Amino acid sequence: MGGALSPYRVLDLTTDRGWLTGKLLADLGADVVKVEPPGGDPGRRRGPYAGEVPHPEESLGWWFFNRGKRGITLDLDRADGRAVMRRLAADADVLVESFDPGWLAERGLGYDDLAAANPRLVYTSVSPFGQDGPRAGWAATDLVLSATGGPLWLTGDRDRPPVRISVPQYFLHAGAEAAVATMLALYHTASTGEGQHVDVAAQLATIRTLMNATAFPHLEGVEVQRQGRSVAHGHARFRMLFPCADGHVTVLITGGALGAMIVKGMLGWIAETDGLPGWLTEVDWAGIDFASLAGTDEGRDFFERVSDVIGAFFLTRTKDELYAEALRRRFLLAPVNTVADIRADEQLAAREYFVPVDHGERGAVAYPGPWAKLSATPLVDTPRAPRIGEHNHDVLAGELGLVATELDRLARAGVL
Amino acid sequence: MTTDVFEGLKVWDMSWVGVGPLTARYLADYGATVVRLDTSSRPDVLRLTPPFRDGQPGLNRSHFYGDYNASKLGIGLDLMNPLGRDVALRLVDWCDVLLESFTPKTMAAWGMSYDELRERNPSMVMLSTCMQGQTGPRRDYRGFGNLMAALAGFYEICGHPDRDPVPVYGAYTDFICQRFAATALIAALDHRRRTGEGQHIDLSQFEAAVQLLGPELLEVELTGRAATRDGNRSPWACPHGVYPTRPVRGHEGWVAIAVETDAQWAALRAAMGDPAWAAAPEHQTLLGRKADEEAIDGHLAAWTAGWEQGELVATLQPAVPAGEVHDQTGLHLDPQVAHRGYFVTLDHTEIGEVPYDGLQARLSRTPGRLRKPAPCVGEDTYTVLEDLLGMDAEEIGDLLAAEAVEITGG
Repeated sequence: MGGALSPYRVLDLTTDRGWLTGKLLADLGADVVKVEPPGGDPGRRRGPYAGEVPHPEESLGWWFFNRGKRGITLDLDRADGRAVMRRLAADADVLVESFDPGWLAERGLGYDDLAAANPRLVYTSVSPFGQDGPRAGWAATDLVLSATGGPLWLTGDRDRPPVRISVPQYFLHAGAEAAVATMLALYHTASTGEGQHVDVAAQLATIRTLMNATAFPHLEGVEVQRQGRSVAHGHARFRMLFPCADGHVTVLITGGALGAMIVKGMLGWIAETDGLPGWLTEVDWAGIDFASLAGTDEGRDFFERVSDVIGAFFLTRTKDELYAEALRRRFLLAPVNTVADIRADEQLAAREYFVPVDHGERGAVAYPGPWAKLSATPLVDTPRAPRIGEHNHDVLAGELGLVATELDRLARAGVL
Repeated sequence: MTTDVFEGLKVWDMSWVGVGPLTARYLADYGATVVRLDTSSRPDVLRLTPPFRDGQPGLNRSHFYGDYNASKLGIGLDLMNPLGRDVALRLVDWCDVLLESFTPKTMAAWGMSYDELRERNPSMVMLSTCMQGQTGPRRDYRGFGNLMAALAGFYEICGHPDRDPVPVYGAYTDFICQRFAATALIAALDHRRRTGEGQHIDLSQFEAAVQLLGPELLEVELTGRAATRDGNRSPWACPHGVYPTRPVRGHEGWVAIAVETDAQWAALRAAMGDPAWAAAPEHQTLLGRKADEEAIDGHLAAWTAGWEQGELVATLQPAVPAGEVHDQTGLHLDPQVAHRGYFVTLDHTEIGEVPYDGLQARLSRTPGRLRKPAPCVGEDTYTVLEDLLGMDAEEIGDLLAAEAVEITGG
C-alpha cells in the first residue's frame, strides 16, 4: 500500500540545507525526484562517510537524507537543462529548493516563472534568513544559525565561549519546518487548486528551539544565560548532569507534589541500598517552596548538598542500572546516550525502529526507520538514496518522454 | 476564497506540555478551531513555569503556557469526573483531529483508547505522542524534552572534549518532534480528505528526535566510530568558532565565524588587513589551517576583541559567514527578524502585552497568523459547551453543579 502522500510528485532541488524536507515527504509516500548538478550534489562531499576514503557515493548524510528519492542530474546553468526543468515542473505538485535567494529566479526558474505554467505548484524555498529583508543575501552555516537564532548564547560553560551542538542541526530544523509548511500549502491546493510560494527562514526555525527564553527580557527584565550543567527551574538552579560509573546521566529535580514524588523515588532507592545521611531523611519535600528557597544562599547550599549525595551514589552505578531503576521507581532520569547506545537501545529494537536497507554489494545496512506509526498509511519502507544520475533514463525518457537521441545529446553536452 | 488553510477544521487538543500543544498550534494558527483541555485542579505544568508577568507566578501568568497555546480556545474539564469524561467524549464526536500526549495507559484507563474512540468517530485523525511510543517495554517512561535530549544523544555531542557534556538548553527535542508530528498529521488529513479514512498516529518522541542524528547512526553502524562533542570545531571549516567582541548592552559580546571555503578565507584575511600570521603559506589550505587551529583561533580572537559586535558582523558579511551570538534582546533587535515580523505582540488578559514566537514560514496565499492570546483556565468553557457542542443552559448548569466543568472570566 502506498503512503499518505502517494498521489504526489515532488521535485527536490535542495542542497544539504534542505534535504530533510523531501526525505520526510518520501517517507510519507510521495514520489520525490532529487535533481543534482552533473557530478553530484555538493553535499555529497561532506562526511561522515561509509568507508575510510571520502567518496561522493559514500556520504552518509547523502544516504540518510536522500533515501527514498529518485535521482536525476541536470545543469541549471544551461538553457537545455532549464528547459527540461520547466517541463518537469509543469507536472509536479511540489518543488523544494534551498539555493541562495534569487538564484533560481535569475535562471528563469523562480516561483512566478513556474507558476505561470502550473498554478497548482507548491514551491518551497528554504534559506538561512528568508527570501527578502536586509540580510536575505547573507551567508550562513549551522554555527551562524546557532548564533543568530539564539541557542549558542544559552549553551556552554560560564568560563568558555558559548558552544554549539557538534553535529549540524539548524538547517535540519528548517528542513522539517519546510515539510510542515509544504503540507499546509499542499492541503490548501487540494481544496482550492491554488499553489503558492512557501518561504522558510532557518534563523526563525532556530529561534523556535529556545522554548520559553525569548520573552524573559519583556516579562521579567532578565536575559537567560548559559548555565553550564545546571537547569533553571523556575528561578532556581539545580545540577542536572552527573557522571556515573560508565558515562553520564541527567536528572530533573523539581518542586511541588510531583517533584516530591520524583525526588522521594530516587532518594528512597539510595536509602535502601547505600543509606542516606540523617539530615536528608528528615526533609519534607512536598513542603519545600523550591522557587524561593533556591534564591537564597541557604537554599543553594541545601541543593548543592543534595546534589553531592546523589552524585556520589551515581558514580557507583552504570547508566543502564540507573535508567532501569528510574523506570521502576518513576523518577525523572535519563542516560546521556552515545550514538552507539542509541543503536543498541532495547525500546527502539522492540519497536523495530532500525530497518535494513539494501545496498547491493555492500549488503543490507540498518537505518533509523519509521519516525511515526500511522495506522492506515504507514511510512513507506523506501530504497537507498540514488547514485548520481541513477534515474535519468527512468524519469527523463520513461516519464517526461525525451527520445533516446535527445537524451544522448544532453548527456554528451554535459547537461545531465 | 478563504485564506485559512484549515477553515472549518475542528481540533480537540487533550495534550499538554510541549509537543502536543505546539503541534496543535500549527493547526490553530492556520485557521482551525482548536479546543484545548486544561483545569486548575490538574494544570499543565507549563502554567507553573516562567516567564511570568513581572516574575510573579500564577496559573494565568505564565507566558511559557501562553506562547504554546495561542490561537486556541480553552475548556476547563475534570476528566476524573465521569460527567467531565462524557463531555470529553462529546468533543471526540465533534472533532476532526484529536491530540493527546499522556503515557499510553492513561487514555485507556479513561476508556479513551483509539480503538474505543474510533467506534464513535471513525474518520477522526488521532495523534498520540509520548516519550517512547505506544508500545514496547519503555512505553510508560515519562519525562520532558530535556530528558529526551539526553536520551536521544544531543547532550553527549554538546560541549568540549576535555570536559563532561553540556546540556542543550531546554526541551530541545520538542522542536524536532512538533515538526515531524505536524507533517504526519497534515498528511493523514490529506489522506482522509481523499478517502474518508481516519487513523491513529503513534509518534515516539525518541524515534522522531534521533532522525536528526541519522548520518551519525549510520556511521557507528558501518565504521564503529561514535560522533562526540568537539567544542565549536567543524571537520570541514577553519577557522570555525565563537570569538569575543567588545561588550554588548553591558555584558559579554561574542560573534560566530565559519570559514568553509578558500574564498571566505581570502575575504577574512582582507577584512583583517592581511596580518602576517594569516598570510603564512601553510595557512592557505583547510588542512594547513586545521593543523594550526588553536593558534589561529588565538590570533582571530585577539583581532575580534577590539570590535563592536554588529560592526564586525556587517564588515564580514556576506563574504564571510558570520553572526552575532544573540542574547534574547538581540533576537528582538535583529533587523532581519524584525523585517520578517517574527515576534507578534498580543494582549493577554493577565499577562498583558508580550511578544509571542510567531511563524517561521511565510505562505504567499495562505499566511497563518496568531489568532488570539492563550486562554486563561476555563476561559472558553461556556462558549465551547454552548456554541460548539450545542448544550443548553440547564445542561451546562448541571455540569457546573457536579463540578465536571470549570468556568472562569466572562
